[in-house]
Amino acid sequence: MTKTILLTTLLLYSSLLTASAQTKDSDLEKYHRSSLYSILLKHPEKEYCNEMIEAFKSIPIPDKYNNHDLKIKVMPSPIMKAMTKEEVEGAFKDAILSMLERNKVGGRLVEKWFDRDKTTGAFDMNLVAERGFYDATVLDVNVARASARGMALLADAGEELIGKTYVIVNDIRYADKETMKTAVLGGLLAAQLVSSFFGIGVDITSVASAAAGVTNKIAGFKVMVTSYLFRLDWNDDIANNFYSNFWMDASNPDAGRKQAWAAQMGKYNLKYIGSATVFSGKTALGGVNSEKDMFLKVCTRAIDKSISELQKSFDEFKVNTPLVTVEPLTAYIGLKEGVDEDSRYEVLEKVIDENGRTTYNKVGEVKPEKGKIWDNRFMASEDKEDGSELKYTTFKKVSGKDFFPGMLLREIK
Amino acid sequence: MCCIAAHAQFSDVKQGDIIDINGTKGLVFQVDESGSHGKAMSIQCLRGVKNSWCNDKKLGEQLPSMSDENDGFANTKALLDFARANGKLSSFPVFEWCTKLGEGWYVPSVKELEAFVNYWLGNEQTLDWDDEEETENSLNDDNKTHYRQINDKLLEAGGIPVLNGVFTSTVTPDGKVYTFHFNRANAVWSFGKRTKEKLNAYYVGRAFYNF
Repeated sequence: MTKTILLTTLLLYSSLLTASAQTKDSDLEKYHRSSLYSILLKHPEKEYCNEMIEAFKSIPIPDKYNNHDLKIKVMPSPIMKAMTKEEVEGAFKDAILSMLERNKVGGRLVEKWFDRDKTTGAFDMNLVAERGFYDATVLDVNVARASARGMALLADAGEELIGKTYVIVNDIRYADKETMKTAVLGGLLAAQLVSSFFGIGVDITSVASAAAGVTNKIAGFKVMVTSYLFRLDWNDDIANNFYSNFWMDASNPDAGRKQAWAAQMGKYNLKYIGSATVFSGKTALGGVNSEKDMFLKVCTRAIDKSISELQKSFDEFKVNTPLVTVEPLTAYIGLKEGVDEDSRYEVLEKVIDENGRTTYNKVGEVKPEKGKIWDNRFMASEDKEDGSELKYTTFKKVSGKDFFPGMLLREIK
Repeated sequence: MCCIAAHAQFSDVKQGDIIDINGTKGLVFQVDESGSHGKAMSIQCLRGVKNSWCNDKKLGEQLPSMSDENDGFANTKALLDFARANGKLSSFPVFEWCTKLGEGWYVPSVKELEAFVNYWLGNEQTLDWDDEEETENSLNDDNKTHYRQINDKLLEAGGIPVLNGVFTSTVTPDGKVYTFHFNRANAVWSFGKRTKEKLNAYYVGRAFYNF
């Protein structure tokens, strides 16, 4: 018998808007997210490199993803051979992938999932259980592999969590004229963006109102970001191989397996998904009191925009977000996630079968209500942008029957 | 920095080590897993010498095939045999300079130089994930490019940093020499083909050694 779990049946009381908002939100957060490791490529000899590194380190992983950052967040950019515009993106992507593989990033992401102890080589399932909301006792690997339900849970974790581990490598460049011209020649940006770039001067009015710490040059600071998206290659075969040959927990230390993992971890691959290039454009100075604020604001917004572009371009990278209330239909997504009046979302009901495998059934579609899109971009409230006073985006039903809080929204093209 | 004195027998050598090869210092940029075999580049270079690749145009037109893109030693040997047969070693200053560095030194081929360039630029760098001294996010904050770090190492060892153009021993069928050029401003590099004469205006000679 299939047991349908409407997360929200536990939460119906919350739609009455009388229950504790904290309780409601924490329960609504119990859905499977993709995991993300975000890297910055540094160009030490380029202008504003240090400032951009500092800003990047302050940018959190978007809350629609699990933070799967590793120790090293900033890596030196490959320095490429001069190439034709057709060759450049592919070759740069290859160079980045080569850098990630050389540094065994795939294996390190797996280590993070299973909380590998560097000293003993032991793994555990704590993070998997935590992010998957699984019963940790059922997820004892040695026990789980001996039962259909246990195997199903391991497979679910692989498909729902580990197989959705992404790496974004962000190449942020100060958008001087040379960078913009190169971007257009390389086909990364449309030519009209460059004309707008050359046409956009610093808004003198806004500069005048900015803090004294922000020079005219910084007030006009713009960046171009190309984000390269990779996914950890993880499937049933890879998982079985891992559990069979490398897995050991703290209760069963095995020097042979420890050594085997060290030798083989470099073979866990990343698969290239695609890239997106965005231009920050002009950034208003609301809330900017120093140059540091400006770098942070411009870089944060540019990276958010780039992630949003990747979500629009690649279905597998789209985020799920829960419906918070149904009267009205609301969710905590907004301009930062690329919501606009033309956006459409499918409403998904999470179904967990008797073995614990998760599937999603589409139960309808919604679209944002005009004028009720939340501007949740970084520092939007300081800019007093329309919609920044909202706390969520309100949707209206396009199709479907009953919706419940906790059902998941996923953007459709 | 590791400085090892030996007679072309090495062990535990790592990329970036300065090794002493029979009195000539070289920077290791390729090494196998045993740490015993690889390639080194001389820390010195030949510069400031007029027509340093070839100063005899007529002789330069009669060269044997030097088209090997992978084996600079073979190209160099071909040229040395030719020059010695004609009693004109001094017509090829960079090759003559190699012989003075000691046996085994040669002018690199285009692919060998490319391998060095990728090392020098940091394109083959493996980051130190186990450095306990580093705190989260602080690694790689050194604002020096890899090639500047390598140049510092060359200077510290008493050598000459790699600045821009270097020529190779690979010659095209129409008699042009492959040369390396690095555009710092745009951080891109390329290999071009130049006539043998006037190479010294923008390019220097480097010597490699297989150990």
